[in-house]
Amino acid sequence: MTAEELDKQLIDVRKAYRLLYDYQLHVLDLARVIGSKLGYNTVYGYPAFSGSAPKEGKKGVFDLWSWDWLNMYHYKFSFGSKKINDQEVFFDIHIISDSGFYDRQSAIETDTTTFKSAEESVTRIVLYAALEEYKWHEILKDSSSIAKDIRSAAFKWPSEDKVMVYGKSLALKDFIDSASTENSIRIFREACHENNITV
Amino acid sequence: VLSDSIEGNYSSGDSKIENVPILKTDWQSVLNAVTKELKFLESSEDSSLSRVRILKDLVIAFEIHGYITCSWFSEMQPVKIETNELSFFAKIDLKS
Repeated sequence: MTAEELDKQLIDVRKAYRLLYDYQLHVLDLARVIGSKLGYNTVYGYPAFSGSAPKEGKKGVFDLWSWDWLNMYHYKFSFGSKKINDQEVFFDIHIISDSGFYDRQSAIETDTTTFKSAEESVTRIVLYAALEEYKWHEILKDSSSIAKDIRSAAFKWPSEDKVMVYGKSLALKDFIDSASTENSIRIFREACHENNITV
Repeated sequence: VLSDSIEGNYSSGDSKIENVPILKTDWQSVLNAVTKELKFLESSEDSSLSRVRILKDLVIAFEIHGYITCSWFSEMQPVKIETNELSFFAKIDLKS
């Protein structure tokens, strides 16, 4: 790449930063609203693909992944639990901004050229309701199962018959405005109910 | 804030009681006016912290009662990133 090409490419970088800022702002607002509509108002955040963004004054930042500065690639909003009909129900929202890594088995985290193309990848919101606190990070270790979750409409764990964790995967566009969000939440609630989980 | 929330809803056909016009509004309009004022205060230089805090508390109070503010994706401005070529990081990788 020549100096001129770099200069031109950096226009895109600046555009991308601004776009991501706006995008993340809307994702945060959406996650807050979904939680609130389901009656969950406390949230804890966990990056699910990268590590955390480095704190101010963090020592040894060169040892971190570039992804740590872009941790909404896949992020988990964990809303804790509330008691419904004597059932302790935990609720989580996952935002998978890009399924590209999960969609290709041979993909390497540090090489985006090994990811599935942006056009073929998807952006999903996965809503999870769980009857017991579950070791989510244990399940997360298997990226092929995440890929399956993202593509398949529903995630049931540990089994089809005895569902302790129910996950519903929806396209981000199904949350574009107030009406579609209400509808998506209704779909999630009904699907949970069919699996004997009340949210 | 209240007058701001009423403004859009006022019409001369609104009912009157003993010649006093009754101006109608709803909670969502009041909440929208609160968020508008909050955004204005936060962006203005002489924003008084106490007023911002009161309005933020109001937003939470509305939320408790089921009235929620949200920046929906439908309101987001589309951004076009022109270059369709491989990123320069990818090019560097290919050369090395």
